[in-house]
Amino acid sequence: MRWPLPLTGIRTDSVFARRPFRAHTDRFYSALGERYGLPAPSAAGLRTTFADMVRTLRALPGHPLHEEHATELVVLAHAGTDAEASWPAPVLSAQLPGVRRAFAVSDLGPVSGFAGLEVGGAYAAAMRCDRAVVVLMDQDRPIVRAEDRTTWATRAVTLVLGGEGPPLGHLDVSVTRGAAQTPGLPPSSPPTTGAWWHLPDTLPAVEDVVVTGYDPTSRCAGRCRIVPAGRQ
Amino acid sequence: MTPTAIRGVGVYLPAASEPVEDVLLRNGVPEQERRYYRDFFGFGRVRRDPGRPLEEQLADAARPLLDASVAASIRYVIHAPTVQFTAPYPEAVTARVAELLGLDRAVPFALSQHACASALLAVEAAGLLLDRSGPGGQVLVLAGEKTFRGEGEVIEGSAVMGEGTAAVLVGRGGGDRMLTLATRTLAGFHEAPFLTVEAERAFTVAYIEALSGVIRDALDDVGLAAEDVDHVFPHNVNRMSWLRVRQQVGLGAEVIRLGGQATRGHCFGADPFIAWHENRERLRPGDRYLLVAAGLGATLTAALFEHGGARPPDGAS
Repeated sequence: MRWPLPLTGIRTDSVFARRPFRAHTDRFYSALGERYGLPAPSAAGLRTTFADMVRTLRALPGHPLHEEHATELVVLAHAGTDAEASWPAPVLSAQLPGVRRAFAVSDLGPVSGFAGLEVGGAYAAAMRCDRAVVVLMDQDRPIVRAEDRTTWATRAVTLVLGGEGPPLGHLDVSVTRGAAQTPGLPPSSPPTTGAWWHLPDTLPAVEDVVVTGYDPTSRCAGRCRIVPAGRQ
Repeated sequence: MTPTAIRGVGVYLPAASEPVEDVLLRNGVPEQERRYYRDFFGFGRVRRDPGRPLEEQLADAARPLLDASVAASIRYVIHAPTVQFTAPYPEAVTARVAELLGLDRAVPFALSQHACASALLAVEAAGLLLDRSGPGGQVLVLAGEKTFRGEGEVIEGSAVMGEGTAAVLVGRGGGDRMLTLATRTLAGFHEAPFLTVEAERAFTVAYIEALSGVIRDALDDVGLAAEDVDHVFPHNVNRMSWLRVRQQVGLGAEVIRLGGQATRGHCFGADPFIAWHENRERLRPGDRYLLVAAGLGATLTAALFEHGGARPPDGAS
């Protein structure tokens, strides 16, 4: 699926404030974990939430979410759980000018961001919007199965589609089910942002740049080809 | 563009139920407040299935919709949870449902952040995805969740939660045509369900106006009036608030299909679809109806549909 708006910005962020868990969260997570035979998670330690993360980005001078441009569409994506049940999309809906739709895509492991882009592209075309922002997020202490050895980190990758600024390329995004994992391809680490983390270093490019991800749980493969501006 | 359409709704209601009194007692709600839930909000019993995984409950809702040819047409399975996580990584509830149903080619993911209104957004998203994925495809939208302890069982001052689930078959054309979807997100309530007392009061005041407003937004968008609405399939919260919304919008006296509070509780995003299913025999060709939901956070949504078939001319019986 070709995004109707060009990619005009991309950046990575990994500095987010942390705070103690609120008491209710421990109870909530305990109930969730019980169903999967997990011990009650420790309430100790500092964490952040996805809502806190987007508030941080919004307050950061120079960040695309800090700007007062009308942004009709906001898409968030995450593979892991939130530290608390927070509402990052409503936070941005209320704070950014012009938001008509804001939502999150998850439950698809490392392919969550690719699916977010696919859904976002469908909305951007239907809404004929001028500017959209997609934020991929990971947290360093999600609730996981005991045997899971995934490496996590708290960080975000922000993509800006449309709006002002020279185009960096056009996105062709696809998510397919039933694909086999490419042999030798390391897992995306951390799951949501891993595959995208070094993309800003490669753009603009003269050749196509391809980002891929694979979710072994669903056997879904995500692919995003960034076609240089000026070439279709 | 061919319109997004609901082609079928399947429902799963656990056979077991529990008096709301027991749930409220377990959660430390004092007697005076418990009376409100019973006598004013209209809650009676909640359906629960404590030993059963969520994915099985969702799959049971979907099974009646899927014969072999329908199953082969499913391009996406979208779960629209209220809380944005339903399992520890790398578990994936939506993928597990797809597997249970034998939907080997469908891409499974969750769409969230509108809380209990997320399922209405998912129907809209399903239609848009189908518009770009070639002819003949359909999407399965799933709604409903397990009741967690504490805030997962009771939303203070609003609802007692149940575990009914719904599956919605979405296509382009045919079935019940989506006329429009209107949604509003209110500022200042992002800490829900842990709002301060002041914010809770402010939300109670804002809620009626905002829900009425989003229904008006939907009607205005397609040039219809309140009296053109034949049915409202609502989310099962505070019954009294629905009566106030009905008055504010000017909806007909008998169009809001309440009743779920007494028999099943507030089943997260599944409520409007369970109400649709419960009242499906009342739908006549051309009937216009609203699916309405409000989510923590706070997002309120009204989706307007027209039931399949030609509407009789005005005055015809």
